[in-house]
Amino acid sequence: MIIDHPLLGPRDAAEFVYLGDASLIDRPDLNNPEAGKEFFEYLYLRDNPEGIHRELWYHEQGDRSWLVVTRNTLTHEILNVELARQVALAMGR
Amino acid sequence: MWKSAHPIFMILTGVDSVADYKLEPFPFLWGRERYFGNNYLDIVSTQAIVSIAIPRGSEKDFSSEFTNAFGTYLPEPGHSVFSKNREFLFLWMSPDQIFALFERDGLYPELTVREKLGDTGYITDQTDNWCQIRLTGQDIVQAMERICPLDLNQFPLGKCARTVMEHLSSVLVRESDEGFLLLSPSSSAQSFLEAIEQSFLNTGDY
Repeated sequence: MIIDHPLLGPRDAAEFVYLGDASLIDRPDLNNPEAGKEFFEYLYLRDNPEGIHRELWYHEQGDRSWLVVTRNTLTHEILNVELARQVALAMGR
Repeated sequence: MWKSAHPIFMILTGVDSVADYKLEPFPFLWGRERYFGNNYLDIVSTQAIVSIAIPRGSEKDFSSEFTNAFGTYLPEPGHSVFSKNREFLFLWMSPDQIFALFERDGLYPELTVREKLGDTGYITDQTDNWCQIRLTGQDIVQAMERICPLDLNQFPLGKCARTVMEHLSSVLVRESDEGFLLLSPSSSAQSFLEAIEQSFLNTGDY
């Protein structure tokens, strides 16, 4: 599998480590009144979609950047790759 | 690896004995060289590696200071760039880190960079953490493509990349049409060297 890194171009998947659902970027605020419930959902409740899925990948054997990879879990086709840093900034984090 | 190149002397000072340690740098894989036909493998032993990390929020100030100090711009992602006087080679390592490679002068190469940049970046000596192997010759791409996941036929002069070869972290720099500089962690230097040598033997009649 080839991941098209936004800065470095196509790189072999062997250079990357998979973490999981990209929603992990959206960590709840510990000071929210509903923080307990939000953290329960954040930590334990995952969607398991059949089809398009946004995931966090780490370029461990490369530039050490985190990526958000949009992948089709049925075909393994990679539809989009973004720097997680940019995604987080766009979310106001 | 650093080894004492001299005997350790004991100096008698009055009634006390004080050890006078005479230490000199002793690079990894020092002295190793090998020909594979017309291709030459050599260990780079006099080149310092200094890491420069860019503080978050100071990117513009750092870029300006860097250009003033070295007469060049920061390397683009996946590329290297020489300083204006060509004494320093800078490698892009990540969005907020570059490596500076230059001829070592003394035991504290980070001071050489700090004299230029001041306190605008986080500067650490990495020389001891990497082995450096230089390959020159016509058959390098053929030998390396067996173990390197990068397309080295699309790896022009000045390009650099961090990747993994034989499960070992490595950095490649294209120094010339027929020349590559390879870096790999010093803790597995011997294994890395053997992987390179074996790849030559597997791909040619040497």
